Amino acid sequence: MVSDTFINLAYLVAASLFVVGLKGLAHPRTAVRGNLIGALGMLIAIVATLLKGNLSFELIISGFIVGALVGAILAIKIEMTAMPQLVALYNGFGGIASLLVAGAELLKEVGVNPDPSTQMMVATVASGIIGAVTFWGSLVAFAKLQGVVVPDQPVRYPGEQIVKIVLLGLSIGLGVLLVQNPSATEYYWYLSIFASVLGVLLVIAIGGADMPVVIALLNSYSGLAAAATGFVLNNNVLIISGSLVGASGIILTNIMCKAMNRSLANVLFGGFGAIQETAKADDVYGGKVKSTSAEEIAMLLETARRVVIVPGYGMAVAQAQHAVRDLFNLLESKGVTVEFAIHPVAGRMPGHMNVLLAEADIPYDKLIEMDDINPTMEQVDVAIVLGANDVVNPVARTDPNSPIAGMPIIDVDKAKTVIVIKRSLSPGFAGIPNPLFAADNTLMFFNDGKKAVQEIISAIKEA
Amino acid sequence: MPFPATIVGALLSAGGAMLVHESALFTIPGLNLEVTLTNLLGFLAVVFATINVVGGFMVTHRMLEMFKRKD
Repeated sequence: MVSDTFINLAYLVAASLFVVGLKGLAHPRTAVRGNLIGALGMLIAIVATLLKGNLSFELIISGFIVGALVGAILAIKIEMTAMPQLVALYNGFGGIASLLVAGAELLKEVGVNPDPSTQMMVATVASGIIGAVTFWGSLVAFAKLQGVVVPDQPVRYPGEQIVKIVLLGLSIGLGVLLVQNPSATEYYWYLSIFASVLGVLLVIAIGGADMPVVIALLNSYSGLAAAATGFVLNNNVLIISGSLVGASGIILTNIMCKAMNRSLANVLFGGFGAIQETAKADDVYGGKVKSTSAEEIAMLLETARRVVIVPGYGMAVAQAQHAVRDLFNLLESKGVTVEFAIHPVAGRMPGHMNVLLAEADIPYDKLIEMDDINPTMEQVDVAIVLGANDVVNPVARTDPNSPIAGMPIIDVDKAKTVIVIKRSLSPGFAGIPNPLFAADNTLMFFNDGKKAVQEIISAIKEA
Repeated sequence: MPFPATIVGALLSAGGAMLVHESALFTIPGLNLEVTLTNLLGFLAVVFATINVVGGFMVTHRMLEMFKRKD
């Protein structure tokens, strides 16, 4: 078989390619290449591992085939709107793989060596706990996003934090027992079961709209689990790639928490404070909400010079992105400047709106980030809010007692006219009324997102 | 950036765990292969890790392709 020096050199090359690839992913122009460079690194790491020898090839090859088929079919067939739950699922599979590898390695090791090193045992316990939490947490995130089995709303109950702490304590306690007594391998499976329950409870308590943060965090966990497994196997490339994923996931998590002006602890354990008595919906909306029609909107848009569209999760639910593209093309052909204002946590995964709009062929340079578009909001003639709510709620700026106080928002209320396309006045994820809907310069178009945009398009064409 | 972190774990070293040192749970007749608990776990790990890696890279590629300039 091949020498260790050669294998380690191959791993070094693979690790360098991961770093270069990740760097490339940071910019839209180099991202495709970055991803391919990362994939090449992965291929080198896999081939090097196979060359190490001592492998049962029949099982590996059949595992490859099954996994590659399932992964590829899912990746090709999935609807773009279902992307968040698919990403959640992939993270979970990374977690369960770490758990299984560490378990298999433990069984193998104690079969030949009754006294494995403490490093290996501690890493095994870490792989099991983090892997199980990642797997089950991801499955719950998947179910929430897909709308099956578990409710979208946070599931809360008295003493929930204590239950979670006890479960974590039990997992770690069993881990300590296992480290002291490696031949008692059944402890590994018990601690994995407790960590699985912990993973379910952790994510079930978090609301659907906080899933972008959860997905970023679970992605980070899947990396940490892989790194821990790297220490079990003494495999450098696994430690390096796992650490890269773990670190980039936690950085992304942090960015998303900042975008909501909430701490990670608040997202994970707090949820939005539903207890605080904020303004009643009737006081905010009473008699002040003006409803409009497609014809009126068409007239406003035809005389506008600059239009900004603010998409939210509602656009994804209504599958309105293609209709939005048609409206975009129609307005641009009439000489109206149209831009899209993207809030960092709009949608249900990081970059959700970017992906949907890109799928509909909206040019990337038309997607403007919140911080860049806000200073120019006053020069916007018409702002169209399409299926977004909390991320345009001016209460975040004005009411320090509001649950979303201090969260950066897109300042649509500063535009000359605001059109809100929404089915009803129902509140967004934060559960509070939005005074934007009752503002003097706001017109409400009560309709399904896709139908609304299509009606506006026909109204413009008929005019 | 849509998904900077989808380069997910290189878990395929899972294969390293597939040494046969224990009694077989069952045998696969066609392949004349003895399956032990260890290599059953390793096999499942390879399946899940491959879904994660292949799916992760492909889905990232599919998302990124959409950002290409279409003139």
